[in-house]
Amino acid sequence: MPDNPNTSDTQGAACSLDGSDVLHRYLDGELSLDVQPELFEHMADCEGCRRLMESVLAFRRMSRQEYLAYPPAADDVFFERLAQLKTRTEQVDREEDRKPLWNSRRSISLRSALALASIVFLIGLLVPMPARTDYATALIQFEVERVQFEPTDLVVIESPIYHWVDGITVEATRADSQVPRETF
Amino acid sequence: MKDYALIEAFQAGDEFAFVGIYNRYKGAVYAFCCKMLVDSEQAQDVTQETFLRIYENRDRLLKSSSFKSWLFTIARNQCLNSLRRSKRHTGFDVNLESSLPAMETPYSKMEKNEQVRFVTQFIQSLKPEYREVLILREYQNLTYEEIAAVTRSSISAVKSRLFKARRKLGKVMEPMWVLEYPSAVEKDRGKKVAVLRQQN
Repeated sequence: MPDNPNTSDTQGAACSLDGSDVLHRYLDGELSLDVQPELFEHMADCEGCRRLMESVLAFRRMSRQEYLAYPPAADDVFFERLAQLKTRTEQVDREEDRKPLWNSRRSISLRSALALASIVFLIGLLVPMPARTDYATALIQFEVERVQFEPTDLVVIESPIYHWVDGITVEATRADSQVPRETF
Repeated sequence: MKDYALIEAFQAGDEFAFVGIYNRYKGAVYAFCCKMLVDSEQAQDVTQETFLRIYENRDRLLKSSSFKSWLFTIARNQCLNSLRRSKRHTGFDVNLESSLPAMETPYSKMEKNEQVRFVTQFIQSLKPEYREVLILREYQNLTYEEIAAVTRSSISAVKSRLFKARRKLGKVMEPMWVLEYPSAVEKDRGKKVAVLRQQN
């Protein structure tokens, strides 16, 4: 398609707006007012430009004939899909929450494990330890605990013991040395 | 409530703000998708998908960028994906001229449904890159800058595509003007020119 809008068969003379976007800017409301009279003057003589403008304006009028309304039933479908999306997002979040933060198993190579073990061993050797005797004394001192009981006067009361077995009352005398088998 | 306040509330987690945004823009997005896909059912699906994407990616919207541009960028990408999936890469239809009512009927004599059919067929005959620019300009009234942001291209590329699409329109509608009696538009313009000449 040629760039010049005015190359139709119906047009005799060449258009002076050849390759210019003046007409289009006018149609889009972006042409300054001081240039507009020149454009109108040009269009009075240029049939190609006139027809192009008429075509665009007619297209605009025709395009407004169609009323494109979003169907209300589609709203219900949309909100249903939105609810599904929210549920899905929440489920994903829960799965993320269930993952352990630090207790996850990771495989390491044997070489790394040996290196780590030797580092720990060396650190253990380098840490200053207290003398063995001092350590033992400290433990014993910590463990010794004296407990003193106050001597109490034990009084043995001799009294009859009543024993109920299936509604039968038995009266008996208890001696000091005797230990009651059942008491209530 | 202004757009900015709605978007800010939505980003802060206000669900009602999102419903407000949806109600405000669903018509525009649907109209855009309808014209891009030329299929109302598919357009409904893509419109819903667009708003679900917006809900999911609310954190990605920068406060400095235009919400409208962002919205139409998502809608446009969804439409192109849908066209790609359905393998409906439409270009210029060689049989368009024979199917257009404009070839036989002058513009003033065209009925409403004929006009709608003509517009649909013309849009369908354009390649997606020309179609999107024409729809965003003529239906959504976006500026050249906004269209460039939506289509991820330069302003000069937008102008070039838009002007080419219009020239194609002019060519398709040319026979219509041959049949047409000088329209009211022409008379009005004639008067305007006369007035301007008098002023000069």
